Amino acid sequence: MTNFVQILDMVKDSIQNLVNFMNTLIPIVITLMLTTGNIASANLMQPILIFVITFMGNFITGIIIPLVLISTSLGIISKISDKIQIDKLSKFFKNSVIWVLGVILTIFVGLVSVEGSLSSSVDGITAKTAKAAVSSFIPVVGKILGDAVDTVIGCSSILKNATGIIGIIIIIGIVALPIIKLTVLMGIYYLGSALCQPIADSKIISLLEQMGDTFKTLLAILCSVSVMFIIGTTLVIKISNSGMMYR
Amino acid sequence: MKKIIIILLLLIIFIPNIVYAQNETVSQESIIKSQQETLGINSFIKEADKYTKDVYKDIDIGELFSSAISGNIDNKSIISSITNLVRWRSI
Repeated sequence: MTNFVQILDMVKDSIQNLVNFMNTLIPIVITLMLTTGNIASANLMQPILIFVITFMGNFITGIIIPLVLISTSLGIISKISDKIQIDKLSKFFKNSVIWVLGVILTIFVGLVSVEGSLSSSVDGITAKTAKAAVSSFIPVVGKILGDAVDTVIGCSSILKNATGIIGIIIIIGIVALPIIKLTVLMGIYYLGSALCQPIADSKIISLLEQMGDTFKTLLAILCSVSVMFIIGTTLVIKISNSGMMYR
Repeated sequence: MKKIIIILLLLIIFIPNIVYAQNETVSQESIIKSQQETLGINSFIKEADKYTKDVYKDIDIGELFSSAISGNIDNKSIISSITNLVRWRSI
């Protein structure tokens, strides 16, 4: 069980690290979005992203992980004791955790992509109009100015894409070790239950299986959070790039 | 009063504005460097280094960033540093 508590702490720490890192990454990417002329997208994205990321971090560490803990302890009790049977309650908690995570993931991706695709076209057309106005209304230097603005926007876009890529690599780096550990542990518990089946009591086997299931849930939590953050970062980059297509 | 304003406006419009193009051409690299400094990306990279000490021991995030700007990310070293975790880390 010491192992289990350590693993729980590791999952909590890595989610906290992810949230802290995203809170440093999002302002930089949003500022770069502003420099590429995606004003409407930046204004829409920042509140949603910052809110959802902070909310997810607190929700998972404060509600979801304790629920997993409760579900595991209920499962262990019902597996060990013949009299107390609260297996279904444990399953209910576990299923609700997975459902809630799925719903949050869907809402987040849906919100970011819909709002982003709306605002990116507004930004693209605004930037195009501004560039056309500068090029045609300012005499002599209008075209040079327009081209210079184009170059600066292009450079900002390169920087933004590079920052996004670095962000994604670092997100993978933060979650790689915990995911590998959880996967190995889950495999070991399942293998243990499979190997013990011919020799051990059925209670011990189902207990080992229960622990394996818990690690699987923790793995699902970590994977879904990291995938959500990776999708969020990629969508932000893609949305601001699609605005550039209008120029 | 009106006449003076109109005359002034006409003068402003018709006084030739001569613009000289400079011979120096600003390169893309210098624009990227100046933007990198003004937007605080260097401090972001330093901050990002803290989070990946455990996983990417032999990878410098600053170098990774400069390679990302040029579009040449070394995927092999990133993947190998992650796979090394499976080999050497004891759980």
